[in-house]
Amino acid sequence: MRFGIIAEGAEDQGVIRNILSAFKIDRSEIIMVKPRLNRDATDENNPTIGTFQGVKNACEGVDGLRPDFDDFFFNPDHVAMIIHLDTAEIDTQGFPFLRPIKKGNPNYCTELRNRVIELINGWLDNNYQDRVIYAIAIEEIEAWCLTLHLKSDTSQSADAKSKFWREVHKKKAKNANNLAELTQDFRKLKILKTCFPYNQSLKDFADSVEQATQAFNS
Amino acid sequence: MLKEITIKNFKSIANDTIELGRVNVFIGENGCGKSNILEAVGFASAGIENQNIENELLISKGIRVAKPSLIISNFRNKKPAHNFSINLIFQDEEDLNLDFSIDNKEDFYSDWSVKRAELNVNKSIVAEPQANYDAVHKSKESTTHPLEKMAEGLRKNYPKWVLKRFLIYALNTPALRGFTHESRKEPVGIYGEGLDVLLASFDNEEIAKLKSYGYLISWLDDFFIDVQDSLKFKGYKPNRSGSALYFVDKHMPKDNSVFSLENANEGILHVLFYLAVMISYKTPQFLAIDNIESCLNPHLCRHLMEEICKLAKSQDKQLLITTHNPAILDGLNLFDDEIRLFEVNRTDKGYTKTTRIKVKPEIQSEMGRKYKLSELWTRGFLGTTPDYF
Repeated sequence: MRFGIIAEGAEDQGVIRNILSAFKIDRSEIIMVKPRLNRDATDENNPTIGTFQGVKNACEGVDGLRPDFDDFFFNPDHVAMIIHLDTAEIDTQGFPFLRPIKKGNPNYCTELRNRVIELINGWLDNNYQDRVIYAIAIEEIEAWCLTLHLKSDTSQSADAKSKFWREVHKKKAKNANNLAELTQDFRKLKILKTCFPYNQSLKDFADSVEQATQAFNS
Repeated sequence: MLKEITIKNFKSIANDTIELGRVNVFIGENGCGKSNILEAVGFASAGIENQNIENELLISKGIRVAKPSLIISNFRNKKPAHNFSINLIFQDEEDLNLDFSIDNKEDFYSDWSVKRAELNVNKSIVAEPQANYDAVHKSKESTTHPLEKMAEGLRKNYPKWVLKRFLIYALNTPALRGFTHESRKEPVGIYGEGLDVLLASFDNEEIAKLKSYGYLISWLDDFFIDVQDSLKFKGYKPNRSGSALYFVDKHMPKDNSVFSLENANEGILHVLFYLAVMISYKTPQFLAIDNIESCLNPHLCRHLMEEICKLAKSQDKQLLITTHNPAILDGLNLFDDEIRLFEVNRTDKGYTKTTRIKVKPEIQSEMGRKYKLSELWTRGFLGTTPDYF
């Protein structure tokens, strides 16, 4: 049983890998799908690679073909693709997107996550829905990481990214520039679960991983 | 043929089982443990008959020897083991377990002790091979014809004899060119030594077969062995190579088209070596090639691999091959069960884990076109790309 991850960047993939590890999914069972590997160094100036736009491009494919998905599933052991997106920059990507009302809305995270899932499914022309696990970070993956340090709702935080790095520097953590190293504690299910109350989108993702592993193992 | 191998506590391999085919190609990140798999087979080969194994025997087989405490698995957060073991299942369902231990793990000069236990077809453990054989065959002995008994003995011991001769070839150009002689293995050294002597021993059929591959090198008109080594006195080997192998270039004037392997490109030496080893009946039937792609153009890699797969069948050889070149994969037909591709990974704990790469049967017609293995690998779908770049 193997999972692919398409993420905005390698650091995001590292965080997701740590979360998967809590559900006994080993490094050797994860394939870091890198849309940038479809190009060579000549294309390195292309700003859409390895970003939000890179994930969008991978999902949309070209002329109805989605090599990052079609080719990933060549192997019967490859059971699901995890798609990661941060919602923070979604309004600046050049397409209309209607956010749910945030102020006073207790379901803001769930509603926003559902809208992003709809958006991704649209990019995929509703293909692969039974094989996709959505890793939608509201508003950014650092908000997930912040739950290891701050015990308040991090998805409501104005600037989770800055707060997270402030916390890291305050604690003078080792490997202070590597998100995957800094979130090693996510590998322990017990600790991961203590983070759920502080970020609904983290919990939603973890729940869907758990459901998927149970389904594939049954 | 060796059908399955289980390796426990050897270098980076904590516990791994590999179901082998005839041609087995291993891919993976640098340092994932591919060569350790080959070396585990090398240890099994050394231990199949010997009670004690010296480093010299291991080195001669192409094994990178190290302090015993580094050869027995050594992981953080895991209690260190005192021995390592290799379990082998041969095609005739016979099992053999080899257990390797050493008195002092810090002493590089100690010999390895080997304990063997055979498991017969119904998997009951019997202590030593001879005792096992006696117990199983005692009742038969009085009624079986001596020739039948001899044939049965040969049949029984043949897979072990094949394993005993196992070698890991890791070619280097100075050895191929006859400048270095680190390996004295016969009929050819594990780094490429003595290719000329092997070729000189070929009969007409073997030579004809080898020369039929001349088309692989576009400039090659012919090659020959200067048995008297007389050309060296005419200035053909100014670098003092010990090899008497010469090539003829089809583009050069006939009276000046010969040159020694000192001046030949590296690619032809590698290709010639691999083909000679595959064609010869004197070379091991079970062998490993580490980094087969070395010095070879991608197109040549692919075609050579296709030909090696064919030769493995026609010459009844079994191979373990490691590679870092995606083009090698395009020479493999994964719908042939005898041809197997494995990816080697390190788990979160650092253990080497080997997984056979399977392909959905329903996409067979699209393999090679839509799903080219080399592209799947370079794009990361074979799961063996580094994490952070």
